[in-house]
Amino acid sequence: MFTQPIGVAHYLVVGAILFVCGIVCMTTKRNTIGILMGVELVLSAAILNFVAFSQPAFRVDQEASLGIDGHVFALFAIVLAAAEAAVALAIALNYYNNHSTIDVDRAQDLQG
Amino acid sequence: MNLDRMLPLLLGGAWLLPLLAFAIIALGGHYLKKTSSQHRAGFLSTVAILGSFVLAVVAFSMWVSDQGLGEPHHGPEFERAQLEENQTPIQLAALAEEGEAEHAHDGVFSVSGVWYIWAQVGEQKFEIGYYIDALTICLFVMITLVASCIHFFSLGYLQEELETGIKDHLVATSAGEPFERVGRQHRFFQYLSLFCFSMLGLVLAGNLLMVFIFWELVGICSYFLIGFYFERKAAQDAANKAFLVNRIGDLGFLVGIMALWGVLGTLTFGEMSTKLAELAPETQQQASPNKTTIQAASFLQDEEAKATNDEETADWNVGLLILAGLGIFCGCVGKSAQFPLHVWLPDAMEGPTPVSALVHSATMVAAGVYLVARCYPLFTEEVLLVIAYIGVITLLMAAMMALVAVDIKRVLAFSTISQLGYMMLALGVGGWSAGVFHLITHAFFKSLLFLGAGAVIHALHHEQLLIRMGGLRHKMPWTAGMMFVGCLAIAGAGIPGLDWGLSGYFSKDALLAQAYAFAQVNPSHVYLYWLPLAGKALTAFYIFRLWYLTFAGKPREKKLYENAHEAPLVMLIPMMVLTYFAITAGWQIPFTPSSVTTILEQALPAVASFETPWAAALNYPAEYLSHQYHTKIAWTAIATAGTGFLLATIFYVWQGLRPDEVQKQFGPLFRFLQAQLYLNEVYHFLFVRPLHGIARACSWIDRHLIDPFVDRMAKGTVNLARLEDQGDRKLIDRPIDWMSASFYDLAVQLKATQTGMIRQYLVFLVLGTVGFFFIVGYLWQL
Repeated sequence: MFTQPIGVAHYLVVGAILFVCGIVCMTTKRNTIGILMGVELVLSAAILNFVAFSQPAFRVDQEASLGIDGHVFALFAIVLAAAEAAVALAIALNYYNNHSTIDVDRAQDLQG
Repeated sequence: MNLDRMLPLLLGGAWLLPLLAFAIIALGGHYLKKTSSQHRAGFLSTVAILGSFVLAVVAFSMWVSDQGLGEPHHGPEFERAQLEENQTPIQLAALAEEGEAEHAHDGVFSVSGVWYIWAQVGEQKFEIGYYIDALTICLFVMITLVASCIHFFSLGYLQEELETGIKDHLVATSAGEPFERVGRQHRFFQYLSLFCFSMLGLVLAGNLLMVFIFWELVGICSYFLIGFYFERKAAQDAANKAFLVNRIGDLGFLVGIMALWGVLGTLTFGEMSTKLAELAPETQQQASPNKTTIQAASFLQDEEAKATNDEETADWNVGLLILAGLGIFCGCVGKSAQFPLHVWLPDAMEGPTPVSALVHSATMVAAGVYLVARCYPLFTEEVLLVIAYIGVITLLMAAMMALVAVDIKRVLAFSTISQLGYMMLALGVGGWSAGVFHLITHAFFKSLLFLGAGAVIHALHHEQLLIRMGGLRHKMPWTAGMMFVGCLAIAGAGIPGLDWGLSGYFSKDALLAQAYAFAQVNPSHVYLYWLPLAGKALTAFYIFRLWYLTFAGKPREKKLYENAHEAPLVMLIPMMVLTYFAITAGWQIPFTPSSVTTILEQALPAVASFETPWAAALNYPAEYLSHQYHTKIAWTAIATAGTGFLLATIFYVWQGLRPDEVQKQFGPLFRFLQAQLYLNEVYHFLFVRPLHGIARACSWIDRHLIDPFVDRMAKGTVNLARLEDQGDRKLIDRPIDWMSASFYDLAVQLKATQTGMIRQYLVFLVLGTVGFFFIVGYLWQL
């Protein structure tokens, strides 16, 4: 793997690492902001996969398209991530207003 | 002016107006009652019937201007002699033309048609149609006129029904107090309007089926009105009796209709004469059976048998025709209270007096006479003979019962039965126009008499017994005077020399003359003349007995007499109108040679000239032939009536003979008559008691055979239901309960997984996803 030129597999490995980092970050952090960071990491991993799979070698209709579908998706995802972050931060702010903390373990209102 | 179009329109309107009033009162009576003036219902009915009267009069005048008043009929010889004497050739030609035109439609001009086809079965149609001829028009005017008068009278007579608390002294509650109830004048007028509608419909009807429908409708109105004071036991019984006795007659009527349908194939009046004409030659062909007839038998194919079969068909047809005639007359016997079904009419006097005047003397009971007149061509000689004899029996029997009746209304009721007997007699001996003429004059003077009786009863606060009245002429001079005129009219008073008299004089004269003419040519039936003549004396006697006992002499009950008062104007004016007609209904119309009779004669049907196999070889003298006897009969009749009048005066004014002594002398006869020949008891024994027995047996079977069975069934059903209930609980409810309980437990257990810890959820999510992919991947490899 290390002798080969950079290919899709390398990107996927990076993406996977990023994804796992994000998951670990989400599950370990008690801070809401930290969880948000993890979410961003997971999103980034997904976006990286989009970009990686948009490379010409994977395409069969090269003449008919510009070959930037993955990039467009990536851009959309980034915009959505920004919006999501805004909403999530608003939740965090409200949560703080109500509970005077942003520790998610203290939020057990949904307990059955 | 188009008679064909206008007459149905006018008479149809006159017919439907009372129905409108009925519908408004029946549907809105509650609101009419609630408003301050309860009179509204009465006014509505009165206005409706007045409108009908106006329409009828318009129709009558149109008829007269188109058809003329009719000429007095003196027979061909007389006419020819007159023509030869003083007619110009032009007039002769015109008269001849007229004769031909008359011939063209069989002498009777009529307007008939169909409004609506009710049902159609193959070729047969059941129609709602009309048949209008001179008879219809005259009866329309008579009915609406009498009904209008009686509506006005009722407004006064039933004044007390407007109050909210009426004490009915004839009904006692369990506490012994007089029964108190709310007045129901609106209901009275509702039924009165329904009655007018039904009666007019009966006269207007275009076929026998329609007649039957309205026949039943007037019957039910009569039932309602007799039972107007339905809290009284006597009124209930009387209403039931009238209804049930009429059912017997109606059964015969229905059989007659079916028989007629079988023989003629039509019930429409307009078609009957042509169908009869088709039938007549056939029946007369029996001598020459070789001729083929219209109704050749289809049962037997054999040509040789055909000849005899034709003869059988003819016999069969005549038999059916006789059955039809007798059946229809049976209906008339019930409705017109002829012997032996007359028993309901005296009891029907339980109704309010205006009802007795309108329904039970002037119109409804005359419907039977009307029907006989309408179906006249159908009756064979045998049937006519039966009609005549039933009429004679009825008139004599009822007149004798009227002699001993003590209730003022019952005297008049018996008198009505007797007069109806006269009409039937006249029709039975071939005096069509005499019978119908008497129907019309009788309607006027008898409703006058009833209204007078009503005024007396009203004045005496519902006292009806003659023996408690007397001397009332000082208190009620107008009523007394008008009733005296009515009495003179019914007795047939007149001056034969001048040929002047009250209406009853003319009609009874025509009637007796016809009976005399009949007896002349059929010597074996001479009693058909002598008995009615005797009845005339009885009529005069009982009617003046009534008048003397009520108005003459000294008051027998001081208290009643002191409280008596003259009737109010609203009651007196209708009586005056009726008095006018009771006097003049028989007179010649000024400046013409015509009278009511000649108008009626425009509808004179031809007597069926059937040679029936069982005919008693009767001769029916044409009506104009009886005119030669008029003067003679008039003298005889006036002498007889005068005897009756004289006897009544001797009995009750001069006191020459004491009624109670005569009563003692003729004790058995007196009691026999007073008990109405014990017919009620006989009927009770023959029909009512067996019927009660059957009813009791049915009740026993019901209780002891059917009820236990039904009870068992019910109990079985209850047990079955209980079993099923148990099954329901144990087999169906329990598993369902267990299922729901276990689901609940499961849910309680699963609740623990909902920790509310976000990070834990996330871990589960991730682990779940990863696990899912592992499984998928593992399965993929397989």
